[in-house]
Amino acid sequence: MREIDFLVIGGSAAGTTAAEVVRGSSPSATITIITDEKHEQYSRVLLPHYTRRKIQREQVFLKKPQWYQERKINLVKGTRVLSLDAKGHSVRDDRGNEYRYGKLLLAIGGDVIKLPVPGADLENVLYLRTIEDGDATIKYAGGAKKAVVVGGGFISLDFATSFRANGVEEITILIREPYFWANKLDRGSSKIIVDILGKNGVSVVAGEETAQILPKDSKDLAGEVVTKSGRRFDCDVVGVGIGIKSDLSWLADSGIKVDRAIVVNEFLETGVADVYAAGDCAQFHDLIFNTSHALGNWANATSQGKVAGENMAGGAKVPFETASSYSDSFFEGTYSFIGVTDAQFADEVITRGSFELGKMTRIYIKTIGSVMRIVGASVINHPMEVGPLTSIIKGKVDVSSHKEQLANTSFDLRGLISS
Amino acid sequence: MKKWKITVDRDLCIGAASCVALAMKTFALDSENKAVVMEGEGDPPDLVKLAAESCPTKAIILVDEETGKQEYP
Repeated sequence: MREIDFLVIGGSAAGTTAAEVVRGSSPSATITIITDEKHEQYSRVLLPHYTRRKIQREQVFLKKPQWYQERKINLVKGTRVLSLDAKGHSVRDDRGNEYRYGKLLLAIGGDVIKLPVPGADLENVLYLRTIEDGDATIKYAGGAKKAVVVGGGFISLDFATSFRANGVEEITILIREPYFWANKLDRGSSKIIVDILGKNGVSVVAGEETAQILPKDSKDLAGEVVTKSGRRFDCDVVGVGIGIKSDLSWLADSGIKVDRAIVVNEFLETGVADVYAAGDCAQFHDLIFNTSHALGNWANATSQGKVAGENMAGGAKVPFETASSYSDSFFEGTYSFIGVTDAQFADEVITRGSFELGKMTRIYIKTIGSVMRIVGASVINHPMEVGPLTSIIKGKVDVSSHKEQLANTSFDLRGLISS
Repeated sequence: MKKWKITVDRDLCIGAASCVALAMKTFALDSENKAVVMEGEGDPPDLVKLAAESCPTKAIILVDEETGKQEYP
């Protein structure tokens, strides 16, 4: 049995930031981070840069062992926590160790959803979540001529760009939806992305769901993807990006409320004494939008880690209130998502830009209280709009008198920030 | 109190915006969706350090104004 004042499960953005913040205000407390990864903190954001060969492997790492030593933060690597006894304030790991905690932070992120078809366990069927996934991508993309990517979202864009950067000649993305990224984008925004993919020799085949992956002669490697409609696609490598999900089954008997993720209030408290959650695994009460949701991006995870750390360390309680965004690039295109981009949540969505212009911003409008606000935006190839929109969303600006102008691309959004 | 000379490496910055989320009086996004350092008093030095360390591409460079020594990364 080990006694720890502050126990953090998860060693990525939220967990590491929380541990550092706790250390800042509690110089003599014991702090332990348990991570199921074998490494010090690294940047998932940099994985696509690594797999595109833009940076070296060691550049992906954010922290060295000295960083933890200097702050007296004990990092337990390669260990998975299996159970939580919230009443007894203890957890048990897969090595049989038991830890008693004063305060506990759950910052366990998510695991990739595996393709549930025969052949999905072949060696060159790849995912992109961990540094080991990045290593495998470079290993199997190098020398491959044909690639198949399964799924329509940002991981597919990362795979397509990475495969091309590693010399793959023919890249086909298979999506079961009617158009690319249908769960996040409208057809117009999607068309701009698919057009850029096409110009770079990447084809998107819609309405095709993978049924099985057949091995090559060597047996251990995928050689062909077969869809439910019977179409067959030759491949030397397969990339899969169909989403992530936190494994929360081990919390089932803990008393902690789980919905789509671990439910917490605006202080990131679970409601079970001394247990907090932050990052991708936290479904939090969002004060900006007056809704409960989980977000999976780096800025959200780090800023929640900070708030969780402050609240765990004690003193005046701090609510979490940040409008975060996610941005990335693929080939010569860029995209960003800010705030809540859910048409069901919004009252109205305004389109700004067009396929002909090659750029499109979609602005999600909702009246909350009595104020007509922008609650979210998707921004394709229009990076200059991200900063102003983030400020407008965060500032809860009343846009009612400018609503008609939002669709006009010559209307400068910065004019709304100070109004 | 420590004073930072803050620079952002624009080639590394990808607009992940964790610095803006943590230290909003110090960092903002510009017209290329890259972080820039704002004029004025800004945030406490500890918070700026946390914001720099939160950057997923290590694009924020902190130099102690008094000693001239680079302290991050």
